[in-house]
Amino acid sequence: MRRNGKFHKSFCTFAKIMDKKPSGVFWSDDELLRQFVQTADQEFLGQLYSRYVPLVYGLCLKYLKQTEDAEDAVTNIYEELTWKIHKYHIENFKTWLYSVAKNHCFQLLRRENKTIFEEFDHQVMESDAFENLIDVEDDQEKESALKYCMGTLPEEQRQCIVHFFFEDCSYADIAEKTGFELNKVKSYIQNGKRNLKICILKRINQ
Amino acid sequence: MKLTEYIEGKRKGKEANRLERQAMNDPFLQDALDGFDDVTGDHTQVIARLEKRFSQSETPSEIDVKSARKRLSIVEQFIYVAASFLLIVGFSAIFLWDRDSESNPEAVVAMEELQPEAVVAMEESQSEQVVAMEKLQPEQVIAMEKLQPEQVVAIELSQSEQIIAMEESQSEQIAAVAVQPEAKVSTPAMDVEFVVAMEELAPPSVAADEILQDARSARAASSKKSASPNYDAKTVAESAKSDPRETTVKVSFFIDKTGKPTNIEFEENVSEETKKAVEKMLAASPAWKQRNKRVTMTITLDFE
Repeated sequence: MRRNGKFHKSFCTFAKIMDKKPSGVFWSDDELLRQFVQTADQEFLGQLYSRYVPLVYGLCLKYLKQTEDAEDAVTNIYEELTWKIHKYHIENFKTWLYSVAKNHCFQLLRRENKTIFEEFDHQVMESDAFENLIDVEDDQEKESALKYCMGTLPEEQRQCIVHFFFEDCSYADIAEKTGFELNKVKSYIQNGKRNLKICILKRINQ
Repeated sequence: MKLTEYIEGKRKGKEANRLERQAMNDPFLQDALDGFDDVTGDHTQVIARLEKRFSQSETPSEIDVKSARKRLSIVEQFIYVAASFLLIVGFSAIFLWDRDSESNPEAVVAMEELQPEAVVAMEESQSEQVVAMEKLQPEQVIAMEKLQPEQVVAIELSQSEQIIAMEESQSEQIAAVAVQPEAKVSTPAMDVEFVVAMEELAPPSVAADEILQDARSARAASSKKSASPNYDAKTVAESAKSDPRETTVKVSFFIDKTGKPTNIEFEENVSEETKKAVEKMLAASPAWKQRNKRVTMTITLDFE
């Protein structure tokens, strides 16, 4: 049964009327969003939003630093969505929700005249490219460059990169193995990625 | 691995590594993980509560019932709005009324504070007038008492026309200070005290000849020392002799802040000797009450 088909829609409507939810049917974000826009039924928006509550709550915790404030912010952001959704054309609900939630937290911080320190994380932007770089399967050039560049890294960075990317160890695992602090592990991995990427690209382009 | 499991503390193993590598590509997830790491607390409980709040499975019938309950009838809406409006108006009225009543006592106190001063000022002005009037002879006192305060002031600063108008309203007129020539220098038929009082009011007052005659006839010869003319009568007489027509001198002067006549100007062709005499007389006069005023008056010189 195609989810976008007319029968699917009719079935959903019928199920709703019969006081039954369609079982075994997972509605995507787009479907829930569309249903909410068409019917203005809060149930659809609630279901959609509940999927991202942990992310929204965690983000609010990061900027607001208080559990009570973060919990209130999660509720307030939901109320914002009820009218903002109709205002914008949303292609990716998760990305849009991230910007809405972040702006909401920034507005709260500005009201309190608090300084907002926003770290521009190159790591996030470079992750996909880095993953491709260290994926040296069937690429001898990349493999030799990787081996060479791994040797140029500081020892701490090299250990963490190896444990994380090649041994699938988590931060906690690496911290336990190396004895480094958890924050140090994250920092070594972030810096190691950057240095490794610069070195590999330089080697490849030579 | 679910995010909630990672938050609960399951941070080891490949599942955790996978989530952490996923966060490297997902800023939303990365920020959330940073938040859970930065702030301690029972985050899973809060998340569960929030998830339940937003994803409560409500049947359409339940939604309809709740919606029906939420939907108020038009009448109920009107009642709620009207009640809210009345509450707001009532509180505003009470608040404003309280503020008015609080401000009134202050206004009343201010008025009460003002009144004694005003009374005192009035009493002082009245006493001054009474003192001035006591210095006058009875006839003059009666005349003065009949005058309104404004008229008394007008007398002090009066021009000739005003004095004449004032004089017409009185049964007995205020005598003018007459300038007597040397031989038969006779002071105005007034007591010294009266002269002083008059000089206090408007030295020297101006009167027509007939007024002066009336004053003389009304007064008996005084044994008291008459006020000697404060001018050089001889010079004035000689000047008058040179110009017999010069019996009336119109002069204007400015009363400065000390009550002294200054900037004396003669409006008609007057001999120098006469000018000097008049200036000398004005300079010797007591301080005028009304100050910072320009005064024009006509001085009648009576030569026998």
